Formats: sequence, structure tokens, C-alpha cells
Amino acid sequence: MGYAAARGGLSAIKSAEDLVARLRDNDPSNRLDIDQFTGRLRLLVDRVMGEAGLWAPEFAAMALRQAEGDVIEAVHLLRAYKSTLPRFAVAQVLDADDIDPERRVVPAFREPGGPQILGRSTDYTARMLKPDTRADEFTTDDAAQREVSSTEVVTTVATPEMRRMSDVLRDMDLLVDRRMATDPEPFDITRMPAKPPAPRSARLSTMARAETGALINQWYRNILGPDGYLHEVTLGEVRHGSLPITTTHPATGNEVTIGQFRVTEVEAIEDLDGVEEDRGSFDVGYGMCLGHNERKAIAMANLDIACHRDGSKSSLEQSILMTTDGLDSAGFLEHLKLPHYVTFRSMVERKVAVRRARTARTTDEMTDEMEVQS
Amino acid sequence: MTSIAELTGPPQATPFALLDEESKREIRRALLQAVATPGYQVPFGSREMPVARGWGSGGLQISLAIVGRHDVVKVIDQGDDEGVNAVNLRRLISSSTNTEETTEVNEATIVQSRHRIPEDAMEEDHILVLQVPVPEPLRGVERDMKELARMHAEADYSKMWVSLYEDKVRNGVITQTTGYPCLVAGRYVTATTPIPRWDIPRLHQSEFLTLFGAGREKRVYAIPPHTDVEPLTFDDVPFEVESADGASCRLCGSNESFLVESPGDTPTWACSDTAFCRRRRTK
Amino acid sequence: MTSPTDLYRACLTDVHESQEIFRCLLAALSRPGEIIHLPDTVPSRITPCLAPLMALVSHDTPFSVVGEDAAAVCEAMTRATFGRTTTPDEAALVTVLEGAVIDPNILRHGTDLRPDAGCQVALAVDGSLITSGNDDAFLSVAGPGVPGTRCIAIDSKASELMRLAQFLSQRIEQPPRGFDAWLIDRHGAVVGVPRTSRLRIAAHDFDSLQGA
Repeated sequence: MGYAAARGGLSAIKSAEDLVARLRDNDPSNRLDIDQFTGRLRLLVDRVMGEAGLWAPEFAAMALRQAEGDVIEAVHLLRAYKSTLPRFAVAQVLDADDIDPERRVVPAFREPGGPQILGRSTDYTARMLKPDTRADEFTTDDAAQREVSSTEVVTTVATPEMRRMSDVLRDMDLLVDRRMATDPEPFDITRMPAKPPAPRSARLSTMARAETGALINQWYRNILGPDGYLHEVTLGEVRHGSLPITTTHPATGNEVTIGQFRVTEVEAIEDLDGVEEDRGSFDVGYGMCLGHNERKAIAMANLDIACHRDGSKSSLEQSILMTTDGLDSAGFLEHLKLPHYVTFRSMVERKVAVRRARTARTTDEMTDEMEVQS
Repeated sequence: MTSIAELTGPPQATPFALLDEESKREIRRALLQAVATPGYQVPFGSREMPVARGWGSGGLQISLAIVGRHDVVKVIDQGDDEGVNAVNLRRLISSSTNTEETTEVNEATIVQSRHRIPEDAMEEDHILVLQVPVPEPLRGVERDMKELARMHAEADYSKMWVSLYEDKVRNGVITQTTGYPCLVAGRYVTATTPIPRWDIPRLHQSEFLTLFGAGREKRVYAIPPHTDVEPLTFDDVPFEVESADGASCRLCGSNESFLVESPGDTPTWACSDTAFCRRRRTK
Repeated sequence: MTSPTDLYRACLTDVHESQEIFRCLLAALSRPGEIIHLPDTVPSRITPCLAPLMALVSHDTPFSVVGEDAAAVCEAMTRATFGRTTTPDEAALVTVLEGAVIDPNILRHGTDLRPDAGCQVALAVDGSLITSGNDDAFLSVAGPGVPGTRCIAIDSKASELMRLAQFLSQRIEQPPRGFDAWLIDRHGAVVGVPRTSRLRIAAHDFDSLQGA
């Protein structure tokens, strides 16, 4: 099987494709069904949808299966598939408060308006690997135990209304009011590339599609420095649940709900302490991504408020807008595997030229010296 | 109750040239702007392609946006039609358009290339599409994107000139390898992609149109035919193309083409442009 | 007078025709002053000056039409392309129909930071575009894309030549800002004049050509 100066390049590629397909599809283990991904690897499916910017669980599952579990490959498959699809409608603007929550925690307050729902989370589960192959089967003993834990964190109020913490803070006159009087069109990063300085909507949508690890890394390196310093926020909302997709019926003109999708939504409360900031107030950062991906939404919210406070003074905005996309970063990294012998040849030639110039310079200097001496 | 399936109809076959019509029109509008502003990097809504970012997705989008039924397409990588990446791109273009493929420049109408300009002369019927990894020529002297935009807007290239001067003083020669920065139409300093210096003179006052596609960085730019392309250098420092010290191609004997080396006890040289080389041998 | 439905249908292109039209427009801007011919399928069914809008406008692209029947054309074009009608000073693509007069300096010229916001305008020519070897021809073009100069004559009445001369001579040369023009005649011949072109417009006594 050849490579670069690969004569018979086409047959080399075809052989490689055959090999991948054969070893993947003919592996002696049981073939994976789509519902095994959506049912038993839901967080992986959610992550792929989030990074592709496409809500399509079955397609994300197919992509993961075809990509043999490589997340970035699967994201690429989904996004490239999206490129072939026309847009035929635009959804109505939705109100995040319409969320039907499966999970909601508010670290900032012990008794926020509305319930704290621990929900489906392993946050407080001991990370103990269960090597028993039947460990993920739900037994009656486990059931009893789980019943107990989930009732422990229900609030004292009977049917509480879930109030957003930023609204509560606003009512307490503790929140900087950044609500806009106008309603500008959100920046569409799939139609026009965002460059700094960019509007907040460009930043949020870029982060919504960003590679999860990239956002976590951006957050952490800015917490620890040396190239930045961020506050750790206090989280006001961490929500996971479903929202409706509503659009206008093409024939009747009525609003019609065509489906649902799940999101993770985070509000991060920032303690303002800058010299030019209002020390008597808080500000809020926002994060939302498709599917259940809490670490991504938390990083988003923290980076959103950090960017706002930075006001383009540092390179933070540029780092977020330009370096967090998984396909861009991985693609460019891996392009190093492509043939580069023309460029390399040119480099070798320059090295020879530099050495010759050095030798010529030394010879000239020696000649000058000799002339001086004689 | 109407279902989504009824509203959207049956799934359509993959569109001609892979991209949907809206995407093509957007790229086309950007290309028309690019031709009117030679050397200026026009931002565009770069779509995800079946090839990865960094692997020619920009060049591919340009080719797919411009190609028609009657075009004949040549694709090379490092000058080689048979390089696996060139093969992959070529089959993507031709399978989605049913256009003819060729290795011969004189039969082609569109030549998509990574890192080389074909040795054979191209004429006014040719469009050269170059794949661009880094479209920003000033990346080495400035990192901040807002500042880069200002430098191009104000034609303030002083930092680049200083860098070239310091290079010459420190190293005795200007050590820029491929992708030598050039001034286009007397206005924009442009990244000529990593083509060797050998190929730069062919851009100057060319007969053919050259389009540059940077998919990952989401920009396109253009050099029209009959346009000045001047490598940045100093009056007393002549622009140097790659020298092979008189070596010639071991296959066809040429010493007038860009040669690449096979290292070893006795290094040998061969034309990087395989079609050019093969034609010389079979003449 | 074409019915709105017929006009809408005539504005529709297919993937192949729109690609061919685009290639003509690209060639025209790459080789200013050279006559490029639109595919025959265009002039046979619609006034060719509309070809750029038909082929280039897509969802929400702001475009404008100036001249008699502009409203009808805009409506048909919006239906056919999903573009958005707007005023000439805000449009990315403008068509100036036969006989219409407009001050080119209201068109979008782009900015130093974003010269690509400059407008691209199709100018209908009521007459025929002819390649000329003569420096006294109506228009002579030099600059990027042109080896030396290219000259264009226009076979038309004096009033038309005056209208076009007025438009082009009001153009201020300040590349990379500016607008790009396609002169398009009734037969589908196109001449491109990008903002980088240096123009010389013949100072004719157009009145004396009246009746010619």
C-alpha cells in the first residue's frame, strides 16, 4: 500500500478504505445497533451532536459507528452531511424558561426558587469501577437504594415555580443590567466566519459547537495562567432538560411544534471586582449546548463572562473564537501527515544558502584581516 | 396532521458538485469580490467538506463552486497527480459532477493544486485553484487578528519589511522558504501558499486566473491574469528561487523544472511535476 | 408586458445555467474590457442584464433593481432566488435597467477593512458592445487583468452613450474600495469593469452621433 509519491494513488486509497470497512464491519463481535448508542452511550451521542451543531441522535449514532468511536471523525461526518442539506425553515425564538427539566442545581443558593433536582448525574457517586460484566444491569437491590437517594433533595415547597437565579438577583437589584433594547439578528457562524471583535452571539454559538476538551482547557489555563486570569464563578443555574422546536406552518401560517430537543444550560454568576466595574453588583455569564454536557456548558458560561469583562484587551476572545473548533484544530494538526516534500526541499535549499553566506562572510572577514595585517 | 416527512418530501440525491446551490452562490459571490480586490482575503461561510480542514477543503469548495459539466479537471499535490490526497480530491470533484479528469495541463480547464504551479504554461482558459493552509502572510510578525486587519486596511506592512531586513542581516540571505510574501497589484501583501519560490514568477502577469482557497480559515482570494505580483525584497537583494546546483532530473534530464531530492549516498533528483516529466520522457 | 408568473419563471435558472452565467461574470471581471458572452439560453428568454441577479442572489442577499418596471422585476427575482429587495445604497448586487439613471456614488463602496462590501452592479446597455482596436472608442480599460489596454465601442444612440458615460465618469477610482460593473447588452454580451480598472471614457460629442 503506497503513500505520497504513491503511484497508483487511487488503488492505494481504495485498499485503505476496504481495509477499514472490512475490519470494522466484519469484526467477530456483535454488530452495534443504533439504539445501543442512543440508549447506552447517550452522553457520547450528545457530545457528538453538540460539537456538530446538529440535533439528530440516530445520525450521530451512525456517525460514531462508522467512525469506530472517534469523536472528531463522527463530528466531521455529521457536519459534512449537514452541508448537503438545505435549510427549509427557521425555528421560532425559544424561551429557555420553557425547559422541561430533568436536572437542575443551583450552587449559589440552598433554597432557590423552585426545586433542586439532582437528576441523572454521577456527581456524587463514588467512581468505583465495577469489573463485573453485568454491572450495568439494574437489580432490585440497587433500585431500592436509588429510590432513597432521589427523594433526599426534593425541596420543602410543594409545587414550586422554578425561578432563574439571574432574575432573582435582578429583583434584588444586585445584577448589572445588560439587557438590550434592540433585537439584533444573531450572528450566523455557519454562514459567515467570526473574527474578533465579534458580537456576543458569535462567541456563544462558536462555544456551543466547540470541542469539549478545548473549552475545558481554555477555562483551566486561564484560571491558572500564565496567559490569562479568570475568576472562578459561582453557578446560578445548571439545567438539563428538553425544549420544544416551534416553527411556522408553511401552509396555514400557524405556529406548530415539530419536535423537542435537549440542552444543557448554565448561568454563571460573576463577582465583579474590577477597578472600572460596579463592585456592588454581580454579572452573569451564559452557556448552552445541545444534549447533556455539563462541563462544556459550565466552561462556556465562565468564558462568556470572562470575555465580556476582558473587553477585547487580551487575546482571550481570539483564542475562543479561533482555536476551539474541533474540526479546524484536529484537521490542521493532522494535515502535517500530508506530503510536504516540496516545502521541505525549499527549506533545505535555504539552509545551504545560509551556510554559504556564512562561509562567504567568514572568508571576507579573514581576507580583510589579512589585508590589514600586511 | 401533517408530518415532517410530508412537508420536506423525499431525501434528494447529492447535489451536482456536492454543495447545495445556496452554498455555491455564496462562494461565487466571494470569488467575484476577490477578483475585484486582488490579494485581499475575502471572508466566506466555509462549509464542512468530506475532506478535513487543512486538507484542501477550501480549494475543494472553490473547485466545486466554479466547475461545470464541460470542465476538465486536473488535481495535483506537490506536483504529483498520483499523490493520494490529489487522487482523493479529484475523484470527489469528478464523481459529483461527471466531469472528465486529466493529468495534462493542455487538456485541463481547472487545475487544483497543493503547493505547486504546473511547469507547463497555462493560458487564459485555465483557472488555477491553489489550496491554502495559512492565508495570512503577516502571521509570522503579528498574532493579533484586529491588528492584522488594520495592517492590511492601511497597507501598513512595515513589520514585514523589518522582519525581512533582520532576516537578511542575521543570516546573510532572506531565508523565507515557500509561500514567499508578495505584493499584488501594488496593494496587498499576499500569502502565495507554500508554493516554492521557483513558481512565484509564474504568477506575475500570468495569462491565467489564480484563485486561492483557505477552508479552515474561511477566506478566499484571487490574482487575476496580467496582474503585478512582486516578491518583497530589497533593491540590492535579488529575489532567489531554489537552486539545485546544476542538478537535473534523473528521469527526463530537465534542469529547468523544480526538482526534489531523494536523499542517500548518491542523492538523485527528479521533477516534482510528474506529468511534465513523463511528457518529456515520452516525446 | 410579461405576466408576473412568466417573469418569475424566466428568472429561474438551473444549477448548470447559473454556473455558466457565473463563469462569464468571473471571466468578465478577471479580463476587464474583454467581451464575454452569456449562454444563449439567457437572452432568448429574459433581458440579459438580469443574469447576475438570477445566478448570484441567494437566501437573504440584499439586491436592488433600478428603472422602469423595477418593482415587478424585484418581486419576480425575490420569488425566484429568496433574496431580499432593498435600496441601491444597501444592496450587494444592483441592476440598472435600460434607460435608468443612478448616481454611482450612492452604491456601496466597501471600507478599508471590508472592501468586499463593495457593490457589484449590472448596467443594461441598449445597444451592442463591440471590441475596438481604436483608442478613440467609447471606453478604454487598463489595470489588473488587462495587458496594456482594451477598448470597447458601443453601437447605440447618443443618449444611451451619454447615460453610460455619465455613470462611468462619476466613478471615483480608489481601489480596493469601490464597486464593480458589468455592462451587459441585449444580446448577452458582457464587459466587466472592476473597481481596479483605470478607465478612459471618450469625450465624444454624442449629440453629433444622433440618428447614426
